[in-house]
Amino acid sequence: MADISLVTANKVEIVESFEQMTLPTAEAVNPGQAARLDASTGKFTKGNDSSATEEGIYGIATGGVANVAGQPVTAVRHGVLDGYDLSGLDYWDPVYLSSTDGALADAPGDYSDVIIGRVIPGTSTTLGTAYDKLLLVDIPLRGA
Amino acid sequence: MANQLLYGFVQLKDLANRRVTEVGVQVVNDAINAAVAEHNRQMDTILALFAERTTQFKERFTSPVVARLQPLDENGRARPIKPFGVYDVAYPLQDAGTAWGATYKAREKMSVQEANDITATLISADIRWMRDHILAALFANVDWTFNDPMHGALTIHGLANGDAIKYVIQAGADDGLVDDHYLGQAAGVADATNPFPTIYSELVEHPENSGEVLSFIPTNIKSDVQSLTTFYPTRDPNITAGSGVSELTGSLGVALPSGPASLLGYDASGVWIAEWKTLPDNRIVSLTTGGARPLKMREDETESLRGFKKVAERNDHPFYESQYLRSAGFGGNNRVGAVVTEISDSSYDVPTGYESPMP
Repeated sequence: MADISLVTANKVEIVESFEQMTLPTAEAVNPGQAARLDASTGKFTKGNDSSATEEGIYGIATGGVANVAGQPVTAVRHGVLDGYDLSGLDYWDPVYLSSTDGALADAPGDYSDVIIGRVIPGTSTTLGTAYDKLLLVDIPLRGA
Repeated sequence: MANQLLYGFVQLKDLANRRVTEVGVQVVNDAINAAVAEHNRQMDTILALFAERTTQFKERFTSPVVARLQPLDENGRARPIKPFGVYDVAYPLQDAGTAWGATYKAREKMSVQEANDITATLISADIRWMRDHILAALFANVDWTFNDPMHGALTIHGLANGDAIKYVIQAGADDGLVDDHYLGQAAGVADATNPFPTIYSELVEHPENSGEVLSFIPTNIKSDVQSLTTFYPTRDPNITAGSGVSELTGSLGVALPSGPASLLGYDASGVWIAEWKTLPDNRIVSLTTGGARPLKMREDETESLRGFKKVAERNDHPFYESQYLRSAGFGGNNRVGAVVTEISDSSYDVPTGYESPMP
């Protein structure tokens, strides 16, 4: 399992958003990181694939700057995101919730297989150039 | 792209750094619409060499017939003849689009220059799509099927490809024969293997074609072509040729579409030569400036669905999108109206990426 990095640190752009939510954060949740709801505060906090509670993520944080705890971030639950380095993955390959807090990975984490999305093409490239790789996010309802 | 303004934005030149919201959203929208309209007009110039417009999905191309007077005597009378030959041609209709989006804040902060630059990018996407489809239609040496939702399966032809259709060929004889306008030569371009005499013959032997013969060459063979002893470059106004030097004095007679091609000169076989930088390597595309165009571009019967245009706004605050659409398709029309020649390969192949159907 390898965590998937961003092309540019703290930069994930929304290509399409079908379902999203904006909340302040209980801890820093940077763009590209998996966000779940803190049960007591209702704020976003990072999630990971280590337990039933941690794997219940809402969406993927987006934006162009690092988050500071207390500042809001928009997490996309169902949509298309751009900014991940998906060069090592094929189209339609699954992207998983990582065991690393907040991270996404190319293989299942330690607790269970949580597929948070798949690699899809962006076709606005010139002839002879490979399509861009975007992340289709569709978070399943999981959690304790 | 900075400091270059599209047609619709020229009158906003002094306001390039001002925000769209300051200048007026409608004013900038009008500039965008004017730029797109001018783009559509310029596309007509590019198309004029290669394709005629149509809204038909299928037609019969009428070609000349080899007719001669029938010998008669005092009592004789001629029998009616078929005045022209026909072959069926059909055209696809494909959709393509592009869009640009911004958040509410990004839109509020957008400058006139940025709006100009975005519009230029969208227009360039349309130019590339049209170019790719024109070339794919010319390169298609094998028929392909377009499944039209209204009219069923349509067989799309490229140029004459040696199939059973006969064309009038006036070369040493005057007869209807099959023909193949997809040529290949194993050797590179050199004096002993100059492709242009063959190209010239292949085009002028058909009465459907007239005017000047024009060949578009890719950049990778440009130096070889310019090295031909039969090649005469266009005049450089900065240079006066010495005595004893032959100079090109004629002119092509038609304007080349600005951007795609630049006229290099003339080969003494009778072929004008232009470089088209985005042609795939080793492919020469040749046609005549008169006569029926080798392709037709099909557009929708509904006028509002023609051209490249903004068709929708897709707003879901804070995200705002403008959607642009093109519906068009290209197929063979005058199938002997162009020739495609592959250099350094004796057997013609469709260039990689130009297989039909082109996406």
